[in-house]
Amino acid sequence: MIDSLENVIKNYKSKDTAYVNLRIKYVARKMFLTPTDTTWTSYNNKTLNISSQLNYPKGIGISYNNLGIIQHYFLSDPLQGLEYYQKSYDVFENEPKFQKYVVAVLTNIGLINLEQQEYDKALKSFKTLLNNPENKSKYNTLFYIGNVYGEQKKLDSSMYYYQKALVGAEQNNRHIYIANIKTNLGLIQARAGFLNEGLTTINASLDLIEKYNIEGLRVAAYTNAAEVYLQNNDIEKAEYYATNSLKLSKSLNNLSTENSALATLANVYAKKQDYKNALTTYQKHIVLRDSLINADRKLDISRKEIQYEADKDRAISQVEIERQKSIKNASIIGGSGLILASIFSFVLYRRKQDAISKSKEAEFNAKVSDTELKALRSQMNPHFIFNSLNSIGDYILKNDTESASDYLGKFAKLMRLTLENSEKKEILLSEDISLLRTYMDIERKRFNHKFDYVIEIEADLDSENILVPPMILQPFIENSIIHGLSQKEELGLVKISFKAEKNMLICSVDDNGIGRKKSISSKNHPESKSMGMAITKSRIEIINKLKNTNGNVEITDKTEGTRIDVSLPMQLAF
Amino acid sequence: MSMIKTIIIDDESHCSDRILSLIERHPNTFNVLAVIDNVDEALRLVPQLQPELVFLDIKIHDKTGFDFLQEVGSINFKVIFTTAFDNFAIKAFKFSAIDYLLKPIDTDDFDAAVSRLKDNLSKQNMEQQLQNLFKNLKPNQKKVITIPSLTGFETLKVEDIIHLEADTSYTHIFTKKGKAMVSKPIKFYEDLLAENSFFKTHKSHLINIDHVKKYYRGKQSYVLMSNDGKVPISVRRKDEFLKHFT
Repeated sequence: MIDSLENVIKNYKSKDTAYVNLRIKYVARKMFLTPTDTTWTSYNNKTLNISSQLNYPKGIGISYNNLGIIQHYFLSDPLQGLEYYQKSYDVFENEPKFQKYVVAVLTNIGLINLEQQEYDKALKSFKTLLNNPENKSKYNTLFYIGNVYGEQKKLDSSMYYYQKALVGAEQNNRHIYIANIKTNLGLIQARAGFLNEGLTTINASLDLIEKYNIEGLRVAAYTNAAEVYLQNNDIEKAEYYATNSLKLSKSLNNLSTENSALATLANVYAKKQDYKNALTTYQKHIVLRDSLINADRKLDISRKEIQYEADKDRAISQVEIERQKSIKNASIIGGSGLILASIFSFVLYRRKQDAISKSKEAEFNAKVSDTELKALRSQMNPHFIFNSLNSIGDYILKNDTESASDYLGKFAKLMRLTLENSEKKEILLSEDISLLRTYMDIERKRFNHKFDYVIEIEADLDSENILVPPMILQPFIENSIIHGLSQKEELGLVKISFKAEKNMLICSVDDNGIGRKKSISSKNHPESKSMGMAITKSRIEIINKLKNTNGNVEITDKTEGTRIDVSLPMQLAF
Repeated sequence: MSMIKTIIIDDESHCSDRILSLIERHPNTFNVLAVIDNVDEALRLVPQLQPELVFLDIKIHDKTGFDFLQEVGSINFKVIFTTAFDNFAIKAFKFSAIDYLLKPIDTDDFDAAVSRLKDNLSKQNMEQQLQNLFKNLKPNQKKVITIPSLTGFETLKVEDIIHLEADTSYTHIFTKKGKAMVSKPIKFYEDLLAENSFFKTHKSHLINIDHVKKYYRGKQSYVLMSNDGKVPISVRRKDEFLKHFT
């Protein structure tokens, strides 16, 4: 049938509105079947030219809409797409008989706004559409509104609109839509805390996808299912769906769904406390996301819209003139544009879920690393806590209540400071030094003043302006004291120093203890000793990954004692 | 100097014992008149005994140290609060420049409190500071800070503070009414005012965002405050600063 239409067009001699209508009909049927065909732009431009010569607004408006669709969906250039849609909207906006075309155009404008996170504008477009008498699939518009509210984290509104959309889709018996709505609704329900409902809904959508073999929805549904199971603390199932979604995206070579699958998988790993995999997965996700987002586009689109508002009045009068000369005719283009838009909608929705704005990205980034740092630090603290409690117990046994309560006061103070600082990734060097002093005062008490300590700061270092990760030296000082100095006969000395070297801050712990070799050969257990070291090394590794630096730890065995140099990127607060 | 007439109010004996043992470390300084373990008895005894200093626990059975203060009538004694952990109250203490000790009490902290007490004993009574404390304890109330002055204490409304500037270990506070100098590092106020609309623009400058009049871009950007004071913004703080205005 299409081929016969093609022949009719070829053989059509005069360039009149009937010819334009034929061309439009042809596009409506064929363009969406062959989106990779690169000649569609020139085809639609030709229709546009003929329509302009004929002053035929229907042809002009529909051609602009088609060009918009090509840019928006086929060429992934929403900016260019929006420009065409707006020209199309210009032509159709205020004319009652064109309202059926407005449905498609405004849906597309709304979708670009949604994609660009201009939620208020998107809502405006979609809500205008709800009042459009020509809008034959309001459930679809309701679904988009649900998507917008979902993006805005207005979960109640989102669920409300999804549920309304679901009623409409079920009345019309549209399986794909029902599955699509349920895929998203399940996710939002789970996020809103309705865990059981979320699970039921997402499973219903998975069933539909199986039953009707809706391949296009599978990836999105798997990713959402993973998150719903994650919310339900069913980590096993969550991992299953996240991994499958990732596999499927990779095989389809769909970057945006691959990206969201990675994000979900990173969350799964974090919940499993598999921080290493969480971090690597998250990093992959960030790299992918960065390549997907183009922050400048958002600004450009806003600019275009301002420009559009200014030109609007002029455009409206032009349309009015053209309208006078128009011939009334109908076409199916409005409807098919709409169907196309809906098929793509879930892809967009997923893509948008991934393309969270830059600030959110930084926030999440910080969260992952925070979790990791906290996890590591929580391993470090019990070590010290139990040693200290042990010492206090020791005083009590020896009936030295004065020392016990004195020690307890100091210990409580240090715990308080450590807890406060554990919420921070970085503190001022001056704060860290006072923390270290409190710590060493406690240790000095515990070891009966067997050692002294000095802290040296290079003259031109401003400890009020340098940021360091809290207590990074503590495990090394602990090693020096316990393994190096406590077994030494004479009074020991721990020298702690901070100096700048190129762009790095070198923090050193230098003791005149018995050295590592003797210490290991004596009764001490080397495992406990290496733990602090391992933790510090991973902390520095994370800093290196996050800040793209090459900080490290160096150990020097001196003839008498040990020296540790920790190099960190020089970070200034002001 | 005569010994400081002292009362300890705490419902747990191990806590009051700890204070007593810390007091013993300062011979001829304290004269402990009574150790009281409930608010009712404290309300009866304190006016009778006329102490100069009260170590006051915050949670005393089902009442609080604040209840005691509000009911006791005229307060012509110094108060040092003792508490295990109450972030909210501690914030209010800091705002009102009232001394407090965290339990279990650290010896050094106690000694420091004693030396502050000796410096302040001759200063006017605590009524004003405590009034400020009650104001600051109420949520959603406009906060006030108490700063030490030569004769006693001065109260500043937080919203009236325009900006602060560090001067070694001192801080200049610029308000609508003028300027004050306090012997506390700017870091103290940075922490204190962190939850309000204050922003550290520079190592030695803390500003009230609500009082920014103009912002000047450039190699060395700066802001003009409502009192026409110019405050520099360091390069590293610029982006963060601008976030407050977008």
